[in-house]
Amino acid sequence: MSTPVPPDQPRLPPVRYRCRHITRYSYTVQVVSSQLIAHLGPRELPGQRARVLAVTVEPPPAVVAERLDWLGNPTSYVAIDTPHLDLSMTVELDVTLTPRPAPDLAATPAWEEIAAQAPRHLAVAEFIEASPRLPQPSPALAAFAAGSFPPGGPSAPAPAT
Amino acid sequence: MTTPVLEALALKRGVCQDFAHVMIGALRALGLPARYVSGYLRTLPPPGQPRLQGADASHAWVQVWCGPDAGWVDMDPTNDTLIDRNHITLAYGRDYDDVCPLRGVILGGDTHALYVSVDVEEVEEDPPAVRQAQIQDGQGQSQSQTL
Repeated sequence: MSTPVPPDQPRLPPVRYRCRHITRYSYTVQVVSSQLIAHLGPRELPGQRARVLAVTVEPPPAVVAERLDWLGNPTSYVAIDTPHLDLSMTVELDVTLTPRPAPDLAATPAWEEIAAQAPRHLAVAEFIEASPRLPQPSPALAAFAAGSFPPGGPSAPAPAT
Repeated sequence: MTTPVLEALALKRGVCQDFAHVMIGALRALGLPARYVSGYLRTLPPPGQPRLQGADASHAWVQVWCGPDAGWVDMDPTNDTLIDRNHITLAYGRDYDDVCPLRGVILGGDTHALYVSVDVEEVEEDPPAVRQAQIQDGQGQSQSQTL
C-alpha cells in the first residue's frame, strides 16, 4: 500500500501536478443511452491554481455541458446516445499548490461561540443541517464529538500530530 | 465505497470518506458548520519501489467553519493533519452525495463492472508539451493499469 506523504514544512516551494482520473464501466448488456454528471473539478482556491487539460469520453457524447453547481463546483453533464458496452471518462488536470500560512487554530473563537453565530451566517448555515448521508440530530455523533470539545475550547483544536 | 455514518462510527474503522463523514456529523452535532471535500492525495510508494501509475487514490477530507475571521479550515481526519501541498481539491459539498465523482442514469446495461484509476504525478516544468506525448499513448496504458 502507498502511504500518505508526510505533512509539509512551512515555506516550501509550490508543487505542480498532472492528475489523471479514469473511470470505466463495462456492461453485460448494451446501453442505449447514458446521461452522466461528473464532479471532477478542479476548483480555484487560495493556494490552488488549477485547470482542466482534457476531458475524453468514449463513446463520443452527443452533448457535453460545463456548469457550476449551486456551491460553485465545476460539473460536466454528458449525454451519450450511441449504443455501447463500455464507457470511459478520462479527466486530466494541471494543478499547482502553493503552501499557505497555517491558520492560527488556537486563536479561533470558542466552539460554543461559533455554534451560536453560525445560524446567522447564510453562507455557512446549511452546513449545520442534516444532509443525505448525515442524519441530524444524532446522539451517537454528539457523544463522540463531546470528548474532543471541552467547554470553551477553540473551534479548531490542532491535530494531535 | 462509503458505509452509513453511524455504522462507520460503531465499527471505528472505514475509508477516508467514512472518516470525513464521521467528523462532519460530529461537528454538526455540536452546531459547527462542516463540509465534505472531494479531492486527490499525493502518495509515496512503498520504500524501494517505483510509484505505480493509477495507484493514487481519490481522497476526502473536511472543512470546518471557524468564524468569520478564520473562515473554513481544511482538516484531513484520515491522516490527522491540516491539508498541505499534497491535497488537491476538486469540489466540496454537504457530504459525498453532493460531489460524487461520476453518477448518472442509463438505459440498458444490466450489471456492470467499474474500474477507477487515479494518477497524481508531480511535474517539474511547464507540462503541456510533455502532456501531449503522454496523452497519445496514455489511453491504452492507463486502461491496462485499471485491470
